[in-house]
Amino acid sequence: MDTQGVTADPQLQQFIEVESQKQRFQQLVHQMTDVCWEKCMDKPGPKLDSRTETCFVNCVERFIDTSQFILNRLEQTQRGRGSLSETMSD
Amino acid sequence: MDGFGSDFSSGAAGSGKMDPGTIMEQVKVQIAVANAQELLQRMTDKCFKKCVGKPGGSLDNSEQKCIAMCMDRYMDAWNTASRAYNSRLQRRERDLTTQLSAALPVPPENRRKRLWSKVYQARATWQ
Repeated sequence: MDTQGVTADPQLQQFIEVESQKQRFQQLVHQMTDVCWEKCMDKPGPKLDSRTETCFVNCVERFIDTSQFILNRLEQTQRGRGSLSETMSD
Repeated sequence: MDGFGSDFSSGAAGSGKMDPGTIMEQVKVQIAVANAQELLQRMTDKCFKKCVGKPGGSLDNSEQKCIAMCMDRYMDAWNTASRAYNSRLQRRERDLTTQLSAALPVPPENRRKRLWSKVYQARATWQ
């Protein structure tokens, strides 16, 4: 089996990148559905009412905001202060 | 993703062929299976928590009804989250391209191409 040929194939390379990206998306949706279910869902009813649906949409947005916030602050910390524990005492 | 490696190699070894098209199809199927398994696992967990109180000798009628509704609501929730996340990604991409176009005068063709490739690269890192 020519493993060198398989990994050098540009078509396969692109396929791997595209599928990996799709999987990251899927995984995040699984995770957010899970987390937001805990926050937004009371008793499962015959349909998803608009208040619950809005809660889910907000939840997704805030989850991404949180992730972004954490990354930004971590970057600031490493750039300016040097140690994470310094900022933790704020 | 269990089963990912094992099914894969046995198929390829048997035929002696490593046609990229076949590989890609097999991989797609296994990814789809893994996703379905993940969904079912989480759905079962959530619906058990919501619908089953103190476990009895069997699932009574109300528990079964609750579980059935819960499954549908979980799917609704999943689709809502998927749409919301997708919109968010598209919005960030739009914002980035708007920023790029606003910050610069119209560049010549080759420079425009290089800027677009930067957008695509950035998009890839967001996920």
